[in-house]
Amino acid sequence: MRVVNVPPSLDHHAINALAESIGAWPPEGRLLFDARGTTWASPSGLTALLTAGQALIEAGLDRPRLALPAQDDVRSYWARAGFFTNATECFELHGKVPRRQADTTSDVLLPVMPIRASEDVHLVVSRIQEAAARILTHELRIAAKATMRFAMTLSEACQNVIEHAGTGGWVAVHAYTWRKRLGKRVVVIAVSDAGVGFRRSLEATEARRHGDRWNDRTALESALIHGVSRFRDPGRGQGLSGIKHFLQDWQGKISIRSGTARLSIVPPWDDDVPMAEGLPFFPGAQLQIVIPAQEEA
Amino acid sequence: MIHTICVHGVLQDAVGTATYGALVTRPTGAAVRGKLREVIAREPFPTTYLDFGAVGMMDFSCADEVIAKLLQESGTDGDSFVVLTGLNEEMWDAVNGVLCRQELSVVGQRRHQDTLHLLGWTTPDMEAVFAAVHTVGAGNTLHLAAHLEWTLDRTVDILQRLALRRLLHAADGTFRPLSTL
Repeated sequence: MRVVNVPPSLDHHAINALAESIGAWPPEGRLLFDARGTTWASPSGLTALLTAGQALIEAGLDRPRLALPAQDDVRSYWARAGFFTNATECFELHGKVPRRQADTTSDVLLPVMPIRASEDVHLVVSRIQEAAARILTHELRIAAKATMRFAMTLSEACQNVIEHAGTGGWVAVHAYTWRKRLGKRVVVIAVSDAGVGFRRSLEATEARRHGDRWNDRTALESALIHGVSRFRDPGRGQGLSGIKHFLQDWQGKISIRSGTARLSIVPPWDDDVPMAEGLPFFPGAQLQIVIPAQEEA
Repeated sequence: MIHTICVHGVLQDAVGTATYGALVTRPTGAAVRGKLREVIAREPFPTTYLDFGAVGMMDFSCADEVIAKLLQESGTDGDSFVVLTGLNEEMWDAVNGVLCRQELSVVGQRRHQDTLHLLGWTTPDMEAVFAAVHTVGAGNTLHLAAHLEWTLDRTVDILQRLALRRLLHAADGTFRPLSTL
């Protein structure tokens, strides 16, 4: 059994380290994901970890093992975030699983939920609205009407999984203070799937036009920057376009990692690179949206 | 005569549960559109008001599936006209964005307001004629051209454009707002 080190701080960027530790895809032999030293996880990290387990199973490999974080408070947070409710589908768990259930009373706006069908998106939207109203209006000082736009953003992000991935995915929404990069409260939406990824999803309609340049980078640019969809229908591709429009108003950030590339639309407050290429391969697609607290009027 | 359809009721019927009050996802939108077409086809009234007043929210994908595709399927033939009512600000923006992208237009009414507006792809001339028709009411083209202080050709051209898009009723040199059909 080969050990995959789960980074101590498991966030959107840490997916690279996780992917590197997994190595070539599909990996050989059974894997043990060692999260004993993990002390923090963002919704992107939690959903990506589930995706790794799901992708291994869907690739016909043995169910991977997951050694749970050693710290009680970290396991407790993962339980509140709904990770363990879903993790048994993807991992053989090793360690003490807290009894507490997922909740949305504090910084977990939406615990990890599976996205497999249209009904799941309805459930996500119905569950998010009350928590979103509380956090967005009171903590992030985003106008009350933004609650609906937030739910629309979440809905479109989830639908990308159903429409393009070819398999299921996971969604989670948390609010927390982003001390290092911003020094503000933020709401983070994470959607991750173990599907075919943007390059394969768009290949049939776009690859010929790009020729030798067709890769994960150009696929992400086609979808996020140019609004291209794999469907010929002119009404398609509006979801990501709508999300970008809302994020512009909120100075929000969107990042999508697919395959070996990550494309971000970077707001002025962040110093991330717009495009990262040549990353270690990770299955499917991982979308992260960050909405920062707005300045006082 | 005008027939009003409560879209929230159609939504609940389409998804088979009263739990969800949001128009989200393409499959839901397609199901709602199918039911709306059935009801519209059954009714003898030329104008149908689609009332979104009880709908909680609508995302872009659903706006495309329900509204844009309904308009595309209606085309320029037939005798039925559609007006969207009870749209909140977010729905208005979503529908507007989706229709503009595909150069489609519809007549709409914001929630808690009485005035009808053009929604989606328009031009300043289309806006001017549409507003004038709703100010002066049903009448003939000569009268409208005089009201606008435009040439007859320009007025006729825009009226035809509005009529082809099923944004008002025009025939034999006369016109009427959809609300009066």
